[in-house]
Formats: sequence, structure tokens, C-alpha cells
Amino acid sequence: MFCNKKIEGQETLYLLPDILGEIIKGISFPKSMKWKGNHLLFARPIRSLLAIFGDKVVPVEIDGIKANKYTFGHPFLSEKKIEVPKADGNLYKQLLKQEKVVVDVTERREAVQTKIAQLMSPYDASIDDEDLLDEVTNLIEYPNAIECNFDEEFLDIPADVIETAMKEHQRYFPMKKRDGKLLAKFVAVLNRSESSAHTTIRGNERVLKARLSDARFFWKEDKKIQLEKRVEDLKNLSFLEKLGSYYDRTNRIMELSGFIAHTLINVNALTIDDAALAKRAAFLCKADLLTQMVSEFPSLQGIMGKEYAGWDGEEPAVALAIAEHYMPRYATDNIPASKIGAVVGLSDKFDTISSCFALGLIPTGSQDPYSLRRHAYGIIRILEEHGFTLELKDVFHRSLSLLPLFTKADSDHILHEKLVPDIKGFFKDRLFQINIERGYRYDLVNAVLNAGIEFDDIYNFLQRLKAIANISQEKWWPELVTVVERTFNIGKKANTTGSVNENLFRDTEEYTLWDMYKKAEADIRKRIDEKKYEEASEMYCNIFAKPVHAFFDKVFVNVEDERVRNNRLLLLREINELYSKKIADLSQIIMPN
Amino acid sequence: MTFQEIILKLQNYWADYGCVIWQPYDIEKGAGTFNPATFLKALGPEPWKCAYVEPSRRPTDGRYGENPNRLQHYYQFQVVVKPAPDDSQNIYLNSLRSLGIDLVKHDVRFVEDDWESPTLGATGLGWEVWLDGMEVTQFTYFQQVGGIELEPITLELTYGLERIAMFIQEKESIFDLEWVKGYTYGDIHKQDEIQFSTYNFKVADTAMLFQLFDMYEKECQKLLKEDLALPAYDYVLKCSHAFNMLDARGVIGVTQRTGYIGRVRNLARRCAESYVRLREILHWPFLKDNPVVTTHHGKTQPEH
Repeated sequence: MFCNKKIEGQETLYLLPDILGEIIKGISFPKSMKWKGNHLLFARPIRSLLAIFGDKVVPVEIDGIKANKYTFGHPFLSEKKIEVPKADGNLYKQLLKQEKVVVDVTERREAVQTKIAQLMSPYDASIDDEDLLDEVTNLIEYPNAIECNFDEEFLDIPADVIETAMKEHQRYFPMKKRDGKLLAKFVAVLNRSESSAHTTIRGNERVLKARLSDARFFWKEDKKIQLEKRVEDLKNLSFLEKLGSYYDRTNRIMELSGFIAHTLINVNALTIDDAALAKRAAFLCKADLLTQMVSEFPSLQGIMGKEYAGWDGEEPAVALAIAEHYMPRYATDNIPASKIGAVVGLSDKFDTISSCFALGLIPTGSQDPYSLRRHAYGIIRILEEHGFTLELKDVFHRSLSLLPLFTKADSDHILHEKLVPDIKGFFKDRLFQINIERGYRYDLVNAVLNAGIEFDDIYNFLQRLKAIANISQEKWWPELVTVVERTFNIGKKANTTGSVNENLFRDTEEYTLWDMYKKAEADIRKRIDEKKYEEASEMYCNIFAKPVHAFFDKVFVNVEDERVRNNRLLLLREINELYSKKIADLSQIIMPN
Repeated sequence: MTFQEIILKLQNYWADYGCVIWQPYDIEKGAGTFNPATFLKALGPEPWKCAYVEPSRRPTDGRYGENPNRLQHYYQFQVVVKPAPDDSQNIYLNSLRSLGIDLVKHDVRFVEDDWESPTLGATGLGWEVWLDGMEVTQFTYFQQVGGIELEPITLELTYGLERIAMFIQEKESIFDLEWVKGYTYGDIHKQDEIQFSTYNFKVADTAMLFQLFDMYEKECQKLLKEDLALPAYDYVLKCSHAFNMLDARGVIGVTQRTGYIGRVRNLARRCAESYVRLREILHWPFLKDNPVVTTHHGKTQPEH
């Protein structure tokens, strides 16, 4: 049975209203609002709609507002109702520009950027904040900028405070010389032409003066109490439910810093003096949360700690580490440059991740309220860039056992069986994601992640990944993959844990292969231990490619005699594991056809 | 234009618009939003237009009169209009023009801002209005008050009177503002700032304040049981101020802080609910010109 159904084509003009309505109602915002109470949600109230197709108004209606062919110019400089006669993007832009609205975002951004740069260049200064530029671009319709001044006496306030007061409260651009020196000048962006700029300049200068006076008040007041005297008061500042106060957290960060420092001292990556400084920095690192300046400007946490520690006469390295331990603060931020900052920063991040996992506050999908992914990324980059060797498993075990959540009796069970594996799984995902973003092939990343030694030592994992990525460009790479793959596929069938027994060999190829293994094993292991992965790989490939293939050509593995069969499987597993245990499991590699 | 002329002009402007010129409420509060003329009147379907000056107390903002622009006691000019008018931005901008501010000469900016009062269970979206970089008004479409989703929506305008005066008089310190010929703002209020800063930060009896908070809370709960929403709400304000004082004395830890704010919010929410019930029983008296209205409580037929 069948039928023909004819659906008449409809005119675009009459299809558009539904489509446009859906599009507008479908836009989602981080926060939406109602303005009449009739349940239409949008970022801000919709007051008029312009919708034209060709030269006809599209009869779309949103929330009682009917579309027409009119729009409006600048609210103060034009106040004109503009008729847009036809659907022509360029004409639309041009009409609006005549009425002091630069509607194209890119054009507006460029205009404001050029204007700011013009004002800055005589002072050898430049814009250092692209995000702020994006934000102000969307606060204005008719871009302009003015140069303003503030009293030089305010320059005794730390530069970071001045910049934050300018940017966060006022969206001003600080005038900073290329060498980083802050001038007593700033640029304010305007939504209008420069005529009568004089009043506007004075107005903005007055506002900044008020802000800076307040900042100076905090700077003066906060310095009256030494940071070390504030630590005790962190008892009043609670961290996460059930996990005590920031005082408890400070103690945990100190413990972890000690643990990490000790591990690093053992491999000569840190000195005993560094360890003592790290402990001091850990002790002070959260104290600035109680200062008035940080409560006014939360983004200055750590940075103010550094300033106040400097004022108190703490070691410069300690002060620096306090500021650095929050780094990286955002994806493109630097990591702590100093080793001491790196140790405290790692401890802080390990404690946060452990705390959240212990409370079940685990990131899902787009939800990551405690920024655990950023913290994991920070840990990975610090370990990588400082070349620190730490075993994730050990650090997390230590970190989790410091939390006031587990009794001695249940702790080992919960930590070993559940939390440490969960956290490792989380890091495995992160390492995969980060390295895919860095452009590594996903099968290479998987191969290295799934080596016998996994990724517990992140620095080493990254070294191996780099080596594998390099050798995957070599001519002998396919051969290497085949050796590891063939030995893997068959070797995994070996069900005993015994070792190879020469007396059970029957064929020449078995003897040959085993001889090769015995001769080469120490050499290859030596190179692996020295992290010369490329050399080790090439050597492995050169030695085993021929005898392994000869073995498979001549030797029948699945013989009746179970002992002989198992012995053969064991031999192949030895060969496989010599490579896949400590470098990469190349059976994960997908070869192009 | 003197400080008091600014107040008079705004009052006249909003009186002409049809607002009830309300008066400050006689209990300490942190902002004009706490005045029942805003908090309670924003609830339910009844239309409401009102404007008033509100003396506002923020104990933690005290600076002993040493900071040129922070005060523990200052003045807001508050306007609420329900339902929010379609041309609300223009109506507001005309009020600035009525103060003689030339909007072509100055840089006027609406900077997106999400507003929230955790103590009142209130949220809103709107803008900060900037004049040459100075925030002079909060322009808010209330979305929730006392935890209740609003319908219709109330528009709230909160003018910072000192800031507008500083802008108009081009002064760098609040204390230099001319209140009226012969008196500055400092003449009138500087001693208050010094004395109250000392009191708020150093002298206030914290044991008494903790006790008062508990007593106020208890009284409020008792009144709520008897459906006396209006006096009950007075005790929400008293609780809120006691909390603000304790906060200024620095005796409330962060965890405790959340707890206290939650307690005030809970009372505010119950007052809001009780007030809505009260108005509903009265058949929404202000709706007398609009015979039928849909609310989320269902259709209501007001009395004639």
C-alpha cells in the first residue's frame, strides 16, 4: 500500500516567522529575566523587533511585540527612529553608523582598540588585557576613549591593587610601560564622541580617586596586623562542609608540602632549605583571605599575601610563593616559576581535589563548580614544567588520609578501593583530554596511558608520550607496532605466572628468540631507566622484529602439550612486557590501512 | 544644585509620574529595598508606584569619617513601579534630565548587573547606571522577593543620592557636598560617622546583640503564627540590623554567617507568604480598577 502526499511549498516570508520566533526564544543565556511577568525569558527586556525579508516586514511577533522595519540609533546622540527599507546587511550597518551605532562587533572592537592604542603609544604603553577589551566593546555603541590621570601619591599602593581597582570596578585600562612600570594615567572608554571630553575626564578621575582612596585605606589598615598573626583566625573561616576551617586546610597544605618536599629532596630536585621555606609559605598562604583588601577584591588573593608578607619582612621567596601558589589562575596563565611556589601550589591543589572527591563533589559534564579540572591541569603543568617526579597514588593517599573524614579502620579500605582509583580515573581523563588538545593522536595517548606503569608519574608519562610521538614518524614504527601487537595478542592468553623454562623449548626459533631476549634485555632496560625511550624503542625493534616474525612463521603455539604451549606463551609475554610495561602498550595503536 | 534640592527635584519628578511619595521607614535597614513599601508591595498582582528617601545603614562601611566616599549611614532615593513600564529606561533618563544633567554632554552607560539580596531572598536583573564612570543608580527588574517568583514584575530604581550630588556639584568628598546654603554634608553628618564607626566596630555589646537577634527572631515567629505579617516584618528588619552590627564587630565566622543570613531569609520568606495571603483575603484592594487578574494562585475575582 502506498500513497502520494503533496505538500505545497510555502513562501519564505510566511515560513520565517515561526523559524525566527524559535531562534529568538531558543537563545539561552547564563541568566535570563522576565520583565512583564508573562514568562518570556531573555537576557534583558525586548522592546522592539526589526525583521525584513527582501523589502517586506516578516510578520513575526514575540511577546506581543510585532516586528517592523524600524530600529533606533544611539540613545543620547541620535534618538532617531531609523527606517531600514530592505534586508541588506551593509545598508543596515551604514544607517546605524550615521546614527552613532557601530553595530559590527569586530569593527567596534578594532575602533576602540585603535583609539586606546593611540592614547597609550606616546607613553610607550600598550593594552595588556584582551578580555577587558572584549567586555568594553560590548558596553558601548559608539566607541571612543579618553586619557585620564590620577595623583602620583597613589603609586605607593601595590600596582596590582591599582590595576584591579581600575579594571574590575571601572573597566579602565591601566597605562603600563612595556617594562611593566605603572604610570599615574589610565584610559577610560566612552560611548560617545570626544566633544566635552573635559567634563568626562574629570568625572572619571574623581571616581578613580575615590576607589584608590578606599584601596589605600585597606592597605594601611591591613598592614597593622601581621600575616602570621592572622593564621589563627582562619579557624573562623570555614572551607567546605565537614572539612573544617581554612586553619585546618592550612595545616593540611603544610603537611602535604612537607611530604612533597621530602619526596623531591630524595631525588635531588629540592634542597632542605627550600623545604623549610615551602613550609613557611604554606603556613601563611591563606592568611590574606582575612584582609579587607581581599574581601573587597577577591581576585587579589595570594597577590596581597605576597605584598603583606613582604611588608612583614618574610623571606622574598616565601612572599613570592604565596602569590604563586594559586597559579595557574586561568587556562593560559603561567605556573609558579619558583620551586617553592610549585610545591605549595601542588599541595593546595591536591588538597582541593581530595576534599571534593571525598565529599562526592565530582565534576560532571559542563558542571565543575570547584574548578577541579583547572586544578588537575595546574598539577599536570607544574609537574611537567618543573620536571618533578611524584607518584599520584602516593600523594593522593597521603592527601586523603589528612582529611577529617575517615577513621583509621575504614580509611585504607575507602582510600585504596574507591577514592584513589576514582581520582586516578579523573586524571586519566584529564591527561587524555589535554594531550588531544595539544595535538597528539588519541591512539598514541591511549598507548602511553595504558603502559604497565600507567601515568602515576605524570612527568614521566609526558616524556614517554613525546618519545612515542617522535618515533611514530620513523620508518621502522610500523614494524615496532607489529612486534608489540603480535606478542600482546597471543601473550595475553598465557594463564600461568611462571617463568620461561628453556628445557621446554622444541624449535630453533624459540631458542633464537630467547637468546636474543637474554642478550638484549639488560641493554634495553638500562635505556628505559635512563628515559632514553627513543633509543630503547629502536633497539627493541631492531632486535626483535626478525626473530618474532620467524617465530610466528615457524612455531605452532597452540600445541597439545600444555606445558610446551604455556612456555611459548610466557616467552612471548616476556618479549611484550619488556616494551609495554614501561614505555607504551602499542597494541592500542590504530594503523592506517 | 544643593543636596536637598536634588531630593526635592526627584520627589517632584516621581510625584508627577503618579508615585505615592512614601516616607523613610522608622527601623534601621541596609537599603531602601528593605522598606515594606518595596519588599512587601512588590508581592502579588496589585499595581504600585512609590518613591521615597531611605536612610540606609551599613555598619561595616564605616570609615570614621576619614574616607571621602564611604559612610556607614547614607541616603538612597528609592522608586518602585509595578508593573514595570515598557519605556522604563526613558522615564528614568528623564529624571536625570530633571536634575539638569545633560545626557549628551556626559557619558551615560547602562552596565549589566545581576542583583541579589540573600537576606531577603530577593533577586533581580538590570543595570548599574554610570555617569562619567560613576555608578549613580541601580536599575533592577525584580525577579523574586522573599523567595516568591513575581508576577507582574516590579521595577526598582535606587539612586545613590550622595553620588549624584558629588557628580552634580563636582565634589571629591561627600563631606564637602552642599546640603543647603550654609551647611555641608560634613557639618550635618561627620560626627555621626566618627561616633557610629567607633560604636559599630569597637563598642557595641556583642552578647546583647546575639541575644537581641534571638529575641527578635522569636517574636517574629510568634507574630507569623498569628498571621500578623506587617509587625512580623518589622522584626525581620531588626534581625537584619542586629546581624549587620555583629558582622561589623567581626564576631561572625563564615559558616555562622551563612547560618544567620539563612535565618533572616527564612523569616523574610514567611512574612512574604503571609503578606500575600493577607492581600488575597482582602481581594487585592489595589486591583479595584482591574476587575480580573490571573495570578499563580489562580483566578481571583476582586470585590467591587
